[in-house]
Amino acid sequence: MRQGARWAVLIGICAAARAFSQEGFPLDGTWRGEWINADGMPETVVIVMRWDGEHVNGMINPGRNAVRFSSGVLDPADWSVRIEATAPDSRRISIEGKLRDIGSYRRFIEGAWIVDGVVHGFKVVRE
Amino acid sequence: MSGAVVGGKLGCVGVVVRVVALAGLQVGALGSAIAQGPSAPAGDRPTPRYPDGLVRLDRVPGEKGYWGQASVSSLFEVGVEVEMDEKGLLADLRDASKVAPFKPWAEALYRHRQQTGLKDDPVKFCISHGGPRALHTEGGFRIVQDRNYDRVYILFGGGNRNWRVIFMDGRAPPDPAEVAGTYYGHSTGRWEDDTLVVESTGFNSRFWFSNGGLPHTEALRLTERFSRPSYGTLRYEVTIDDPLTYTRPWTAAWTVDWVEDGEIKERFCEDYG
Repeated sequence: MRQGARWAVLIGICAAARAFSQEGFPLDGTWRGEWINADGMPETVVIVMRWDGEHVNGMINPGRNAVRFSSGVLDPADWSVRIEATAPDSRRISIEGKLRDIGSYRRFIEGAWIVDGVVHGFKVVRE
Repeated sequence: MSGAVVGGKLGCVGVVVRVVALAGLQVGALGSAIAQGPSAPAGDRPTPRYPDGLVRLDRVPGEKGYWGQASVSSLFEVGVEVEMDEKGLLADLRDASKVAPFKPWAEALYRHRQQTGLKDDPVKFCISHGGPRALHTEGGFRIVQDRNYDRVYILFGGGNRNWRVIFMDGRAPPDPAEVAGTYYGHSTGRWEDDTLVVESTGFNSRFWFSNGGLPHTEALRLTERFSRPSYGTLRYEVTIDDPLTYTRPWTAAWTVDWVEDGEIKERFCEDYG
């Protein structure tokens, strides 16, 4: 009985996670993670993306200081992602990564977060 | 038939269909005088109608029955020749591009789902079948016409005994931007001669609308056409229009057999794991 209850809870958790997952365009939605700054410290980042049929639109860190994409591209041949944006302080941000585990609810993008040509490590997970 | 897909998913129902068909044939052999009566094979009997001539898509009063096994077990464009198993897995992955007019990302995602054996199918996590896939669920379905309230209900045995509502009162569909997407969307219907035409929008993107893993987005718009050319056959046609996923609208079609003298089967995902 106790074993059955554990399974029921596990199935419930999995179902709840899947119930909110998006099965459509793989980049659509909200992604949360971090990039590693020059001091080796993690910087939290939230990225929101939306496919319009031609382009990937979106923004970095929604809110007052949001940085909107100037371009966003997903190459389905190798699931590579490339995002360009310019911060309010005119720093140029490039995100170059690979979409991993695309069938999963917890799919993620891993790669490089490039600020004014300086490359940092980066990973965000689909929420 | 437009493809090589062989319906096998509804195995138990299929057995019932065959048994009923054989029984009907034996009755037919006993006396042609009753060949058009209630005991004749459903396929030989004329389309049932209301007194005013409207086609009945459900059982007639005093009888039992429901729509059971479909002639195909997955979705693919009309006219396409591909081989799939009953789970929607292609026999040859090189045929992937033939199944539907994919945009590049959608074909890549479809291939990924096929290559990984459909392991991420939301149905495996008890997430609802949505869209036309619901008509392929085990347990069968009924199409109940409520003429008092100008609605049609589709009752599903499987998919956790779900239902759909189709509004027939002429209301306009809601603005997709104003509604939260659902698994069955918002459906409005009308009759074109003997065909029930249903248009649906307002879907979420949390489900696969085919067992083979065809992708879609919230821009999905479905146009379904239900007709009943004989008592025992439902003809179903669905046009998939999702400009974010496919390069053009495309159509799939199949028929469904009537299972006489039975009730839709109750099936809950949690009971089967």
